[in-house]
Amino acid sequence: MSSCPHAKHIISYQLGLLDKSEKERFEAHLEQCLVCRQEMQIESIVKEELVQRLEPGQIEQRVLANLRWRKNMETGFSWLYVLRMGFYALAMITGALVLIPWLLKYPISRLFNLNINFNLFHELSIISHILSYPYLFGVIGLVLVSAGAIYSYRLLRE
Amino acid sequence: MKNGENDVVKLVRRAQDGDEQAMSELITMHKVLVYTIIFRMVSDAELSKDLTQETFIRFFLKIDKVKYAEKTRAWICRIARNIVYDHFRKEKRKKTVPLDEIPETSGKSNIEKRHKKMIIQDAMQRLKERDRMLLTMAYYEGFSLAEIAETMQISMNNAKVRLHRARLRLRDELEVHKDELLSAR
Repeated sequence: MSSCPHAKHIISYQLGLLDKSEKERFEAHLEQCLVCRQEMQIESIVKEELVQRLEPGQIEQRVLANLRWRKNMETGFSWLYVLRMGFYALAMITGALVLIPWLLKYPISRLFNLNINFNLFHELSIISHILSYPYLFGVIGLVLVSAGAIYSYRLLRE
Repeated sequence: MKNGENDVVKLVRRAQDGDEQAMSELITMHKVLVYTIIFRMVSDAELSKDLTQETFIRFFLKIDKVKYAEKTRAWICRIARNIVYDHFRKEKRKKTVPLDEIPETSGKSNIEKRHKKMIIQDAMQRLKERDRMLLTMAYYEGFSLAEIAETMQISMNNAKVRLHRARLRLRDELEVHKDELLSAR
């Protein structure tokens, strides 16, 4: 690093880690030693760079919003939460089992004059039963899915 | 206790009661320090911003456990360090980023200064994260050796030795650029 044995004190000097007598001795040496003065110059350049502070911008509101959201998520076990989840699951199942086949069989097939074959669905007794009341279950499914979507949107906004 | 410390203690107490205004002030007081430390460790502006936010979120989630509010700054820095280490563990690799991504700082900007900055940043990149963090804290105005020791969870003497070694490693990395640095002065 440097040919001068005193150069080892430069870093401590720059960081203010020398005691008073060491500091005075080093300063006296510095006046006479060109090598140490050059090293001091490099140290000053490094210090000039490392003392610079970097600005992350406005993060306060984002941190607080995220914190609120996480606190809501960490409220622990609650029956209300289980009910909500059950409600979503029901809405999804209704949507998948009733609404989509109903839409495919009735409005879409009528719209495009398609002859959709539902033999596969009819092999499943529950679905064939549901499909025998397509409008009723379609409306129930629509209501549940809409309610689920609105509630999910509100949760996301929070 | 100094005035600044007193303010922090009051803010922490208010934040423990859920006062969002106090939380916001605490973020404003410490965000530059946290971001600077994290940026020096990960060298990615966007990632540093995300990790800075995560640091404060984790701090406020655990703020009820703060007993010595006067040591808040060291505590926040320790959280930042842990978050960066967690990030590195997840990534399993250190990301090196083009120096263009280094955020501009205030003050004069010219080619020589930019070149000098690049040399030092590049040398910092070659150090271990621990050394980068030590040096960033050491050169951060008003950060005492005691606070560095508190943050790193080591003794003051150990902090002094590690700091000295970190600085020597940086100096070694800069050795090949010695003439460039001196001519750029």
